[in-house]
Amino acid sequence: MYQTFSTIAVSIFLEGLFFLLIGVLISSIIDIFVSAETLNRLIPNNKYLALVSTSLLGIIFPICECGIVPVIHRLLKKGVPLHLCITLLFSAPIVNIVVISSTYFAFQNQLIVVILRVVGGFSISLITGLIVSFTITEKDVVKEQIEPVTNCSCCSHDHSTVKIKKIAQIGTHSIIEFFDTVKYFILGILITALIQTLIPRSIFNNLSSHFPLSNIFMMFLPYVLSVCSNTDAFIARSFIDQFDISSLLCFMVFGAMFDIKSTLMLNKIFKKRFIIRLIIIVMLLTLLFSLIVKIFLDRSIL
Amino acid sequence: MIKKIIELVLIVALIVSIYFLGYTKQLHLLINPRYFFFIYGSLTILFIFVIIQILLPLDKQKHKTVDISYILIIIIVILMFSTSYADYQESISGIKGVNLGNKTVYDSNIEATPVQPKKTENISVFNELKIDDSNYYDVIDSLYNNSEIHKGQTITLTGFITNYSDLGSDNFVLSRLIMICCAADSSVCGLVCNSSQVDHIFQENLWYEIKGVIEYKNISVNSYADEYPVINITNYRNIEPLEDPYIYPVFN
Repeated sequence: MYQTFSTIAVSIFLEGLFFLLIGVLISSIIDIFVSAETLNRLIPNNKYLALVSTSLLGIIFPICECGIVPVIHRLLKKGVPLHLCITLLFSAPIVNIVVISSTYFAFQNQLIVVILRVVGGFSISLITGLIVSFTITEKDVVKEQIEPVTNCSCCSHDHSTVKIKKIAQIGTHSIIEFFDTVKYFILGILITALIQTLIPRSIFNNLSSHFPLSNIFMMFLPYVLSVCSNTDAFIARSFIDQFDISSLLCFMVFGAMFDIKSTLMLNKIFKKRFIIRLIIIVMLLTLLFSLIVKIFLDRSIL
Repeated sequence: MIKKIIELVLIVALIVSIYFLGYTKQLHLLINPRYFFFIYGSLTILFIFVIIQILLPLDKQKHKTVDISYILIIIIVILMFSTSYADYQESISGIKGVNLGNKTVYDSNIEATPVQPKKTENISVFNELKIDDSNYYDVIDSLYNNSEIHKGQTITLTGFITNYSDLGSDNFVLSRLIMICCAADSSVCGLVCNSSQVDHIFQENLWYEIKGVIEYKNISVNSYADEYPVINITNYRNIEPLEDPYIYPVFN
């Protein structure tokens, strides 16, 4: 049993470590070289065009769910509308080049999974942004006492006072972010390995045939695992024998948008009621998306 | 200061433990060799982190000196050093079942304890072409999907034995491990073999080279009967476990 646990845990760690390291490196480069003001200038004046462009911002702005929270915190302070921040919050961890690459490597023979994940992330973040824009005003949901934020997504020190070169800043920032993120990554891996070791796949097999129970379970699982969206595709891949693609998409779409650690981080910015509302909206939209995918798959259209 | 030293030691420990897996030739049991560049990339970045930690001035900010991430990294390092990954097959079939075409067969009565190998029995030397690791997955796939082509053909293949009561007392599965990305996503894949001497000769988890004639029979798997390729055994020999039990399929 120990050998099985260790084999699963170490193999996922080795596979995902590279993407975790790439993620923190890119995140650090963006945090240090790209200011929120520059991003703010890029947002179009048209509301709908702004939503669509924000949903796609992740492609040139690859950052996982850990790094994006401090960024939207800063954008809110700079006057970027709430609905755009929410759209970016949910799209960036999925519609980005690192996540697309890792999903492609994990599902190398199933390009449709990569496409569906991107489509799901894009559409759900867009619709959530629209819902927020029509139903919620910023002052009702954002905590009044917003602490000043810096570019750094991992701690409170101000990079502008650090008198070292930019490259060195990226290095030190990456190390700090690595140690800040790796705990969620390893914890997720250990829980995954434990589940896979203790629970025979035949149980998952029975669960997998029960829609929407299997899909809800596959949203609950990544929320608890808190695995980085840069690497979660490899974990989702390990469940491919037990769950259909619609359930795996629930894992990779909802899991990239919400997990325990990002919920706790959001609690610093938004009121609890708004966070709960967001979780419910995203969960229902993910379920709806997975249902559509399931219908198309069952009819062999995809 | 303490925090920086601890982090430096942990990064070095990660590098050393990954290098240890490579040195002891266990990496291919964890990661598909096609993706070894993940490992090389990780080692390169971690090495850069070491240089930065050594060369750059100390961070004067106050951070917690003990962090849960340190403990978790230590756990991963211990797992890397303390496990032999060679015998993973013995437990994986019990947990994941065996893939037979598009169905998976499970058995709660699988013997997970390793069985002591018998002395090698050389019954015969085979002269026919064998399925090798490079075409194993394609041939097995073809056997499940092209019954007209393969019926009556002679086949020779190697693998370890998994027994399932569902398959009947005269049948077992000669299996190999299939790895697409890493060991976590690996699965057991194989062919049903038929012999009247299953209980007396063929023991679970032992490796055999088997020769036989391919037939197609109706077998009930998970209460669902379907036609499966079955090898009617004509010759066999007990072999030592392969150094690399995995098949790494290439999807074109």
